[in-house]
Amino acid sequence: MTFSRKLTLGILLLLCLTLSFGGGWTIDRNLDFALQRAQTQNAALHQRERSALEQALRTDGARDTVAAARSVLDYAAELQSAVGAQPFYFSVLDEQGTTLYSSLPAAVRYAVQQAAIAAGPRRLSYTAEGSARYMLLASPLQGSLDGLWLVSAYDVAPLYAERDRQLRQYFLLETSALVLAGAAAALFSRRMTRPLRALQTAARSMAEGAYDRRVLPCGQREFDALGQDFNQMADAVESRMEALRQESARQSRFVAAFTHELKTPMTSILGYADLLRMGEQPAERRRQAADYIYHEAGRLETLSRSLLQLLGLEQEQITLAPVAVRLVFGDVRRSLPEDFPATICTDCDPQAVVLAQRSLLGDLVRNLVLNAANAGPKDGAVHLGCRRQGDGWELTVSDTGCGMAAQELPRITEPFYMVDKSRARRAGGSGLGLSLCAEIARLHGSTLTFVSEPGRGTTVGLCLKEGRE
Amino acid sequence: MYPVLVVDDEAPIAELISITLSQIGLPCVQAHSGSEAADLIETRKFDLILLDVMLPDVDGFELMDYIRPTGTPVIFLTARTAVDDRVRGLKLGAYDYIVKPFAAPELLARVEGVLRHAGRRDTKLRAWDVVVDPEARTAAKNGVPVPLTPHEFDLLLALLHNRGITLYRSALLELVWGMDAEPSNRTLDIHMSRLRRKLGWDDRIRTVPRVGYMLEEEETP
Amino acid sequence: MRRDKQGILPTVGALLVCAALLGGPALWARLGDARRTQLVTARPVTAGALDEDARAIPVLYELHAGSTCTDPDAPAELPEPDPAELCAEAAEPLAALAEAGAISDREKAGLDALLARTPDQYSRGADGSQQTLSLLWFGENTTAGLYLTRQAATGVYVFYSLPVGGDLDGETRLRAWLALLGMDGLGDWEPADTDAPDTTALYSAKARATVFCTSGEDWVYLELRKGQPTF
Repeated sequence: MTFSRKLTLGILLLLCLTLSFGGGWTIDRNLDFALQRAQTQNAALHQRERSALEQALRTDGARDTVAAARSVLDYAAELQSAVGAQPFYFSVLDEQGTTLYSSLPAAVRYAVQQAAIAAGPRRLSYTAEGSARYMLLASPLQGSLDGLWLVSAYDVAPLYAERDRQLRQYFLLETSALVLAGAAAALFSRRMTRPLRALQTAARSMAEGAYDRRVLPCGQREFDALGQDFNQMADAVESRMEALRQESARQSRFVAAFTHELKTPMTSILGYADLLRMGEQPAERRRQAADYIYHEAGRLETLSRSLLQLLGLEQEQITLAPVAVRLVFGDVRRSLPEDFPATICTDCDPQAVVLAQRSLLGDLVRNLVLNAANAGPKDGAVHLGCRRQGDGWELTVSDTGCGMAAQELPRITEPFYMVDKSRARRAGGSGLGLSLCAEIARLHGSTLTFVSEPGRGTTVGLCLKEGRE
Repeated sequence: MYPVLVVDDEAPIAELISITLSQIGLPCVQAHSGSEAADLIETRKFDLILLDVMLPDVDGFELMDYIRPTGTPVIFLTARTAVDDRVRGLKLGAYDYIVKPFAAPELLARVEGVLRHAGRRDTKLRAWDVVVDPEARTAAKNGVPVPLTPHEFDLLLALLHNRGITLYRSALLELVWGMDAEPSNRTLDIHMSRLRRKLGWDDRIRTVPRVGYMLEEEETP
Repeated sequence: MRRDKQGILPTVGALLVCAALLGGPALWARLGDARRTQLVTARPVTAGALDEDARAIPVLYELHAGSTCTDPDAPAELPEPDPAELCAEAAEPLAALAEAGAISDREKAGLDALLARTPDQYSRGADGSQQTLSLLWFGENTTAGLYLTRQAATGVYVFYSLPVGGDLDGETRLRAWLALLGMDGLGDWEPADTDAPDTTALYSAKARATVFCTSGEDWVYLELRKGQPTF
């Protein structure tokens, strides 16, 4: 059951309960009150009647039952004629319980009269038969014959009839009040829970994959707070999803690239080996096949070495020591092959000493230099620089080569990401160079910064801490 | 009869494919980049294009846009194994798919299959008066069918695919009987002599002592 | 929709409860009627009516109701009384009074001595509801008068004027007399203020009547009167 319906039904039930009990109580109290008034009134009437009857009996001087009966009869006849249409119900009983006179209606049975007499002159009782209802008062008649009792009955049915009329009227009132209140409560609760439904719709569509779905504020403070929390959660989920998606994409790119890098040399090696073992190939072809197998195996070896180095670096903890930057640049210059196509221009502050691991930093700079040379610098040079940068030093490797587009930059340190495959391949790159560089930079507590423009060249920067005490 | 275009940025692989295909008499043209391939496709006609997916400049999939108008059948070469790559290639109109690394017989089977399917070329192999249909696995001499056992047919196919090259006994045994079987050299000799007799090729299948067998090349007049 | 179907049962249930509650007032009324029919409640006291206990005492009843009552059987003319008979008639209530303790034995003895003599003057009267008896004895310089009044309907003496006294205080006499009258059971006889000296009064709200006692050295005066003491 929905919350709004629960609310509606709850309100309705509460209202119904209150109205029913309140109404029942009020109407009941009304009847009690009316009866009390009738009691006072009837007690006075009864007293008057009793006195009058006593007076009549006295005046007649009734000394025995027969005389008394005659007196009462006379009195009653006189009373009826005097009062006219309004009936007076009473009976007179003697000591033995013999009815001397009775104008009581049939509904007031003899046993009831006896019970009223037994209750005594200080009490009053009721009797009901069908819809007829009477109030009974009994009193002894004094002053003449002993043991005479007067029993009066007063019709209270009109009071009950009035009560029943009130009940019917109240029923109509309550029914219409409930219908109105129910409609109002339904409307109100639907209005109240509208933000909840909006939230529900949003949550459902999120569950179905619409992670960009958000809740709009509705103006009610609690619901707005809830909506904001929901939106924050949705933001968190969305950004987490996005991060996962990127991570997953990165992973699958890595797997695809790695597969390619692995399978390409394998294809050549397997193919040429198969060719050689099938049969006697011509000498020239044999030489060519062996050559291919050798070089492709070498490529595989480079790949595995780089990969192992990368994996090693990821787990390694290195110890940093003060290293003079110019020594590192010297190491790099010496390690370059004889036929290195570019010239190295160094612009290094001779005082520059950084906290680093010399061989790793050398590898980093060397990789960057190789990349820079591959970019085909227009002036045929790779520029190495070292400048003061705050407390530390910034090492830069820049070229005037082909450069890279801005959208390439975030991905270039991913393993096997090659901006220009053919160029990199020709230079014997494994596609892991920049990944290694980024990893080494991370071990030195720094990151690589790339500034590049297509056709204008690239500058790679690395900030290191001051190595001098 | 047009040549086969082999597009792969890896020169050794392109060369390997060319060598393999030339064994069954398919001349090859190599291209080592997408742009080179695009130029060739625009200027020349080919019976078949073997296309590497990962090219440095133009993606193999993009190259399909140049190829499709010419109606030339294409077989993709790829190191990728992801299913969506295959589906993508096939959707773009490639005939088939070869995943690197591949073995020579597989490459030949795919190429023959595509050529036959595309109706580009009669893929039947001919040697003197003998015609061999690799698809139907039948051989006929002067139009008269020659009944061959499966092993005999496989031997014949191996010889035809490597004409003029002495095939090692071990390689032949492995090729025909598989890696796990252990037939003796005697078995190979018996099968080879029956093949010679059936085809009447006593002198054309040469026995190279201690090495293997070779199917002579036809003298081209 | 399934969710709606699940909600329909409680909803119908709640609406049924509401409908049932609509009949609540009627049910309450019916239950109340059954209770009321069995009910025997105290009758409201009618203003001006005599208390039932007091009403049950004939003296009081007659005191309040019988002022105009005349005994139809009573002779219109009283016969000429015989003094000895009157004395015997007077001795009877006095003996009862002494028995009850309203007069002391000494006073009783004085009265008996008086009654033993023939009164010098005597009379008997009736005014419809009351009968009076007067006996007078003349001394040398004093006159001893004995007056008694009784209710005609009940024959109970409601007034005594006795030529003896001095032994008991007013309240003792009144309490004893009330016991004799059978009215001490009402239990609400309270002393009432009187301005007159030597006079004690007890008033009962139930009886709506006052008893007085005025006494001196040689006389006692007891009276039952309706209403509050007025002096």
